[in-house]
Amino acid sequence: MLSKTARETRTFRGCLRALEEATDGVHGVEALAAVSQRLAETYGTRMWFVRILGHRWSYIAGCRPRTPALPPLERIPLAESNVGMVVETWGKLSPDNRRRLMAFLAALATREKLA
Amino acid sequence: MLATDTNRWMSAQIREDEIERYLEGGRDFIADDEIERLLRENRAPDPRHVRDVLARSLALERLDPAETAALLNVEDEDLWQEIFETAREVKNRVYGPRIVTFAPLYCSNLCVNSCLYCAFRRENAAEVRRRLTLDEVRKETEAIVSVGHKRLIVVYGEHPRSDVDYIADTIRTIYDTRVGQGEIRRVNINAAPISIDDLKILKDIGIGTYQVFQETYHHATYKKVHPRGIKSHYAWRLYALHRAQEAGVDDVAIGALFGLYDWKFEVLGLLHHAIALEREFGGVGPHTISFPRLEPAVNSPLTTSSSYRVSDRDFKRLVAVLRVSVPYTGMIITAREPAKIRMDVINVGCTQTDASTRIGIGAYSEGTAEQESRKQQFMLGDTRELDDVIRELARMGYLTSFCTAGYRCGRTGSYFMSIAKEGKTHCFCIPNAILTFKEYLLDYATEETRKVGEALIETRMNDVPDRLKPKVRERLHAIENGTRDTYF
Repeated sequence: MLSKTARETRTFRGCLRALEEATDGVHGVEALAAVSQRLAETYGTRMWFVRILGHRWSYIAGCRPRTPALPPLERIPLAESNVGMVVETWGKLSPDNRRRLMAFLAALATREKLA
Repeated sequence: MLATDTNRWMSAQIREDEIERYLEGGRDFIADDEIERLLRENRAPDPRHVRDVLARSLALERLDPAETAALLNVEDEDLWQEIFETAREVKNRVYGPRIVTFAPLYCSNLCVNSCLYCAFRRENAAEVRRRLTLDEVRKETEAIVSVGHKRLIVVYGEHPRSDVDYIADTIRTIYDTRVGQGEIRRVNINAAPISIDDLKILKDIGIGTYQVFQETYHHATYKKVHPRGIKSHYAWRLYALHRAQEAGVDDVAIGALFGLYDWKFEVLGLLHHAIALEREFGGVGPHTISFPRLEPAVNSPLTTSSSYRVSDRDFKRLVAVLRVSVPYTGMIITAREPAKIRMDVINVGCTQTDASTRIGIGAYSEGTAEQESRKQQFMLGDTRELDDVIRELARMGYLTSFCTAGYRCGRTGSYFMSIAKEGKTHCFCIPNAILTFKEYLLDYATEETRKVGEALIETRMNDVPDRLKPKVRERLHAIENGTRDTYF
């Protein structure tokens, strides 16, 4: 019998494969939009992507909440790029899977030359 | 710099291919004859039609030019009162009872242009010319931060010595300046039209809004009042914000200088500009609209002799019509106007204003409280300190907002527009206005303003959605305990 964490990890690996498929042949901003949409549908995650320009975080793709988030927004730069994400809620994503997601997104940003 | 160098620089600025790509059939989007026709054909509008148009505005729909022309032609005073009431309601639905406040910072008054209404024009020998050094920019910023400002609009003349590299250096300097916990969190700029490549440089350093005013949309008048210099090229200026959007600068601001031509024509020109931007860039119109009136400027007789100068009555009308015509946009009233006029038109639609304004080059840090016409572009109507303006606004029920959250968490461009068009900005903006107002009250306000302000915060907590109230209270306590720059 798998532990809860192991089950979550296995499920998330499946999600990452689905994200790879969803972004295969889709490029740039559209790839980020596809990721945001898939995560919202699967995990209830609400996030949007921005281009980081000094103080300015300029919207490029993702969900657009119409009401303020109750917990503070998380602003996360993606490694090796000038793309960042703003997370309103992680939904059902566990902290371990958030880290895996971030690694996936950093690779995606590099692949799409969003740096 | 030699005149030949300046001329060479000027001729290299305008790139025809960055104009022609936007033209339709070789023409720009301002059809003077069509605007004049709309104004003619919508004279003496039926009050029922006017009320239908106002109902569309209350649904937060952007009006069409023919609808706006009808409003502009209303004569009946009672019907104008209905327009003012609608404007007030539209503003409340989209923006709520708050005023975003900023300070202008003039970095340079060197200019290659010859605008007949402007003291900076190159032929004006009475103007004392100066470009701030970066150290002087830092000192100016420190002085502005020290009174509590968080937002700037930085202004530059059009000149090779204030080119894009100078602009970029000054913005970096401003962002790097701190005074205690104070800092400028958003730098907007008012600068000459530039190329897409140059705009990308400004985008990369993180400017807030890029503001270019067309001054007048009427082609013949434009030619007359801009006889020489780069600015004499109407279309280069008209498409400055199209180029900005193409470069990725997604918050852009339009404006007209009222008093150069018929005010009704200019309102329709601004509306056409908003529509052209929406059409070209996926529904993203202007982030703000400005509507300065001609003010006296040294050695510039047109500023007092123009037959198109706008009366106070018509000024209030044009502000209200712009408000109802473009419900989603921010609207800026500046210290050009006397205090009484400012407060009057804030009630019919303005969302942003400046305070403790000095427009002389170096005037903040060099302590020149008096206006000096030979160092200014024009003369101000209201030089009150920020604290005084905030206290008056608070007594009128308005929160002064120093919020810069949207720009720092991606609520820009198309995202901002989608919220504004649904009338949802106040969901974010009222809580953030309360938090930044609290910071101001604790860090900078006089005792009298603090008292009025704290009472206003309690009143305005009623405007915060119930589910957010506990979180806003929590953050207000955190601010009282020293936390700064917290936002939703």
